[in-house]
Amino acid sequence: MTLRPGPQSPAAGCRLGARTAAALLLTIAPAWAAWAANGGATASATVVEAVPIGLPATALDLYLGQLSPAGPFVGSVLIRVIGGINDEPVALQLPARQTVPGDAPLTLEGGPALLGRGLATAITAHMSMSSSKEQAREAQPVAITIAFN
Amino acid sequence: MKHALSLLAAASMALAFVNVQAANSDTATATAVVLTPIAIAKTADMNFGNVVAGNGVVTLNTDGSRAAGGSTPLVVFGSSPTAAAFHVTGDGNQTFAISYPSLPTTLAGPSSSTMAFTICTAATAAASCSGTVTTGTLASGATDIYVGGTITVGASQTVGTYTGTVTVSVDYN
Repeated sequence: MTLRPGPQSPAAGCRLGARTAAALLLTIAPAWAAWAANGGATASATVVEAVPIGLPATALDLYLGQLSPAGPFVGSVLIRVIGGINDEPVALQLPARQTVPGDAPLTLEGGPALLGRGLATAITAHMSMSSSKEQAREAQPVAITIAFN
Repeated sequence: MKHALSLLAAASMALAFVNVQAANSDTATATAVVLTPIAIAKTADMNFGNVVAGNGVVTLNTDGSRAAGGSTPLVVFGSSPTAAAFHVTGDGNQTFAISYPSLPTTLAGPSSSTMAFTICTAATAAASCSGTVTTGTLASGATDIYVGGTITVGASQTVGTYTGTVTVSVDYN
């Protein structure tokens, strides 16, 4: 005759409870894992073609176009787009910061402008400069990027 | 011999009686908490907008603002830049884990051209892009995840639109 130990004690009852709980957890876990949710988003970027421009803006142009006798100077520079436009609208991007000779910071103000259609389209960029007039007289090209929109 | 058998029978009966007497029962409480299934829904795609080819890195912050490093100028016309956003819903104020099971390392463009791509995420949209969040907390059953990123644009980057898909996974902790 073989005597098998049964759930004869509170400790054994606890073991039964632990086993029951473990079994429940095993049952619940897959359902829990199934609750993971996924979401997808599209990431996109568009590379646009740069367009050459004719007359580069210069600090001297800015000086000549200044509106106030003391800095910061604010002026307008006419930029002529010489080609590559055709019937495509283009966008103008002003650099955030340029430095002219003498380490004078040149800051371009105003938002980009959407050019009209056609060749040799003229646009105006508004700029301000917190340097002296003497420094402004030194002509220094200002890089401006124009690209198809 | 007969006496021995009698003793054995008596002993067996005694053991059986002890066994019956020792039988007992106890109770254990089984508890299960049913939570509202966690869900995530995209509310915005990620759009770096237009950029001009050049050697540089364009960063799209989690609030949708952009910054460029290197020689790549940004063009702000056309499609407005936006960070991706996901709305997460679930139970109460539960915490949850965030993972990114499918992240492209490049965006695919025309003629098999690509550009390097990384993401950054945040629980609150901000003018910054650094690292990724891996945990979140629901506030009254909902919260958001914002996704920005960077792209590396080459000097001779092929003109065109580049795309990829970012997958975000959430699960209760």
